[in-house]
Amino acid sequence: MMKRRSLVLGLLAGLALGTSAQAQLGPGKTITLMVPYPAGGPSDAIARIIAPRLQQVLGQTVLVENLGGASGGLAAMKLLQTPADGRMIFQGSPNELILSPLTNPDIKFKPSQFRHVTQITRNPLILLARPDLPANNIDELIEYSRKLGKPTPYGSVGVGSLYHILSEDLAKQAGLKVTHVPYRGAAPMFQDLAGGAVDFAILPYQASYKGLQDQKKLKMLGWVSEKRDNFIPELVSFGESRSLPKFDHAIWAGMFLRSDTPDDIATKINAAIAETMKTPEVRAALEKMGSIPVDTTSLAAAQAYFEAEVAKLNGMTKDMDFKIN
Amino acid sequence: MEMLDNLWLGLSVAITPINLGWCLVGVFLGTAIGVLPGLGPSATIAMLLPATFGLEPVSALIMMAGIFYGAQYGGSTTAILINLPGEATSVVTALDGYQMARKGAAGRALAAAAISSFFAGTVCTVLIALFAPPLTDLAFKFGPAEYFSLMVLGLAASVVLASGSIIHALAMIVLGLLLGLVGTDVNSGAQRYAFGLPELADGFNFVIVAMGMFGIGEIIANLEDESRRDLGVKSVKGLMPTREDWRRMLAPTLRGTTLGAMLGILPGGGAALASFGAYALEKRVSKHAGELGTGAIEGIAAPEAANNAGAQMSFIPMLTLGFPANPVMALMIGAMIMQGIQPGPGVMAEQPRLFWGLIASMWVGNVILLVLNLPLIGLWVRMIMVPYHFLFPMIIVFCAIGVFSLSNNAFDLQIMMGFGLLGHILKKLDCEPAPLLLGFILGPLMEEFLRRSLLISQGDPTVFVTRPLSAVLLALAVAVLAMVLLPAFSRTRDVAFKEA
Repeated sequence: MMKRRSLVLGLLAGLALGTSAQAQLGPGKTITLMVPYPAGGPSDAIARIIAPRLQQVLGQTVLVENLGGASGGLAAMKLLQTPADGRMIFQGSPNELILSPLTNPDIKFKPSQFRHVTQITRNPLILLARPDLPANNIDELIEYSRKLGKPTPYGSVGVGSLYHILSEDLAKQAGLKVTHVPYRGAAPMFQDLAGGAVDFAILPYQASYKGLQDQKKLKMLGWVSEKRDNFIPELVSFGESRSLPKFDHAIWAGMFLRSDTPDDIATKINAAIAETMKTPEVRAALEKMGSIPVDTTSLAAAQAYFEAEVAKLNGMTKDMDFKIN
Repeated sequence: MEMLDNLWLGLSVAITPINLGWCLVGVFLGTAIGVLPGLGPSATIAMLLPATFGLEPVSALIMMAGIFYGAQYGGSTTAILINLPGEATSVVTALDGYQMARKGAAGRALAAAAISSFFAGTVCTVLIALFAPPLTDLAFKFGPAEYFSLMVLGLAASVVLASGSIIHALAMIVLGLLLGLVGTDVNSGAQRYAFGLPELADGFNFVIVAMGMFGIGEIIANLEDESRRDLGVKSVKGLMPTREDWRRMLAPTLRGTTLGAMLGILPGGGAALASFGAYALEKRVSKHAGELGTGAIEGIAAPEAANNAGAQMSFIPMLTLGFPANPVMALMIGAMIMQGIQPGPGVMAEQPRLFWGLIASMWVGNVILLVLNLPLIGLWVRMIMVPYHFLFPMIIVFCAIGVFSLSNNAFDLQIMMGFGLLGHILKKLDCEPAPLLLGFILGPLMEEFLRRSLLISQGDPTVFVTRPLSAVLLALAVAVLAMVLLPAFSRTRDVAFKEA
């Protein structure tokens, strides 16, 4: 009897030790940087630019884990299943953490279950059109669509993606009739945009667009912002249009933890990311792939920004009735 | 003339000792993982991606390309030896390849696969070098309506895949179509038949279904019936093709290469049809059509040539525009981005060494593949001489490792076992798994293209007949179906189907 009790006590003590040791970001522990998409995509590229430097800063091994599926939902659920000890950092964006739960009733988590550590990158958006569309800027597209006599088909990378919601918002504000044509990701959508099956699409800027425009595979109509962007300064912006001068949006990526992660751990990770994002090589590599590195903010500011984004997108999706029937 | 200079530049890049070395590493790795059931090229390349950052960009891409076509070839090895297709494209190879292996002709079957693949690879490398940009533009003639009609044609042709009853084949195709419905609906985002399980949100993975239906199903059948366990290796006759084999391979290889090259240009699912289409074509035009399904060399040469041609041509949109036609191409684009190269139309002009070096390496890689694999055939054949009570646990373990590596999820293993049982039951009912897998692959694509066409046409179904290309494809599908179903043809059909 005694023996068994001491064994149980020993086990309990061991468990307690184990958990207290895990609660720290001490050296020797592996940190996982979770990317909610398969390897090879843009978010994976960002993670692999950041991970080596983050490893140096933290003095701990940082592994990039790719877990695609359910539009990032599988990875988000995996984060919620791990202990809130900061050892899994989720590199996410509004697409999977805010919009998935807002627009898809099958996604069971909520944005409030995540803690925003800091923003890392921002990507400007561009309005693209099929190469033979008889419209060369934002106002001409709107005029063309109004005269078309039937709904204008536009492509997006999937139902409930930011680009789907922004395109619907654009149509609503300009009073256009549109048909949403969803695709499984950007690659098949580009194929149909270049082939002329869909008329327009909103997507994050990529350096290859210029070459594709020269090859007459697509047409860039303008930056989805009030001001032009330095990547292509000669391209006009929505701010210069007569129809929608206030239409200004971007997609961003940030680092997230479980919402119940202790403050000291979140602070430490916030500082480590800040240090990483200051490295000139990291910034140069991110800029080269078309992302703008964002200066790290305080934890409080990051959380406030995240909550503002949730409120904004909640409003947009509620107004438009995006709920899937 | 300029083209020759370009090819020369490419060759001079591809045959530097260092790039030749990486090509060899890639092809070897690719073959090795292709032979392990379930482990695919995209998982392997994803794992190796970080390791390639230290390499020169062109070396990294040459190695990845080597893994890609090495795995394409390795997948046929298991299809032939143990009836286990690791890739969608080698499902058809298993039909006649496994029958040949059981008759003691595994060596000749493997050699036929290697030689026809090499031929197709060589032809397509030349095609890519000469015509990549115009072929890219050809792909844009295919919109959603054309893709849908192409899939209909593929499905109509697939009825001939059956070696038994035509009713059973149709039932299996429909069951496959239904299994393809599981997962998130692209058009509404709603989840179908997922029962709230996040693991089913993206549907069943092809590898899991194939491992279960073919791998596990075959093992259960072999364990049940002792006489099946002898894999026919006691009477191994010759490892190399005979003069007769060479003669019979020639025309199917040419037909398969042509069909595969044409379908491979289409990034929206053309390559998936290539090997099925080539097999169906042989059933119609080959002089030995009656032997197909019982271990005819035509049934290996044609689909193998077609799938290798399709795989090679799928590089075109990636090279010329930076559009990935499959997950492996997406990974190669990712590797370029991380190396600081912007994929897209600029690559050809700005990085001629990389562009032409990669193209030339495809041919070099195909040579290495042939040189590496012909001597290995003897080794592979000896592998199936291992007594079955040692062999089958190994196959199960490798299937399990492969399936687990897809998304590190034990749930996938349970699904694989479920499909194994289903495969066994269907086998008892004389239903073949190949038509089911074809329906499973084509179903979701067909639905997606059908609904997309109708969305764009505002619900007007006449788009399928008013767009000329689509109308031609649909007319062909009707012709193929008429040939199968019209009584005047039923006599020839019976001959073709009742052989098995």
